[in-house]
Amino acid sequence: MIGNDIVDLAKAKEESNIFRPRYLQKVSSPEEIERILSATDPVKCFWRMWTMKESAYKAFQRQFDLKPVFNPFAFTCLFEDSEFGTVDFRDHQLAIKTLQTEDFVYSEVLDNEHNHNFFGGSCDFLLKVKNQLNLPSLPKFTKTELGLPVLSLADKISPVSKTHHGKFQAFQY
Amino acid sequence: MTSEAIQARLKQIVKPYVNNQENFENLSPESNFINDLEINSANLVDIVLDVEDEFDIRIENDDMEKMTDVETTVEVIQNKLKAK
Repeated sequence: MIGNDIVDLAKAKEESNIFRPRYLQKVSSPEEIERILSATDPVKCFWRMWTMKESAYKAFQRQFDLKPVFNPFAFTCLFEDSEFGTVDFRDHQLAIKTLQTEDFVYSEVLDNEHNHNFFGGSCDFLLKVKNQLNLPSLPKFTKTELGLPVLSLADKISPVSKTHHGKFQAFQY
Repeated sequence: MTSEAIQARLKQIVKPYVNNQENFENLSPESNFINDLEINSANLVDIVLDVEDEFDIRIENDDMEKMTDVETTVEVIQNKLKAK
């Protein structure tokens, strides 16, 4: 299962105020709110949970052919350490890895098969895949019926998860 | 309140969060917040909160998850107003 999500912290600061009244209550459980508010950096902790939930949502959407919905509250985050954590959704659980830097927070669903990621623009990404797999021509982005991105390689299609926010872009494939 | 009147007020609410101005100017009931208006998903929360303030209603999670396009959002608001 693949799914990833990136948040540009500078852009998020311009766009969102997570301390706005009722904001946290709309997207987080009481336990999650407690965790956020007691964190050294509550804003970064919030975006870690947010990107974990978004990555899990993308993965579940692909797995179960879900129609797009918006309910971050239905996803519950648990941190194992500063890097690894899990997200629960209905009866399912996914393991997620998060990378936090000064400038961005990036989460991705752990998957044995699709464990590559690439940070950068689409053209560079496609070129990298071409070279990595020794393809005769550049792969192409296409979409499934549900609108989820896939890569068309020479003779097969392969799932890809894209995320873009502010000046950061990343791919899991 | 008519759905047209609600849609007009909703249009003003979503305006500051829109990243695709052309689709915003051609706003229709089918317009999807994320795919068409290119609104950042974290700002969908702001839209829900702004809607609550503007119409003096409270939106539960079951309703919130449907609020991804203009038509269903207008429906949710209309139902909440009727129940007031």
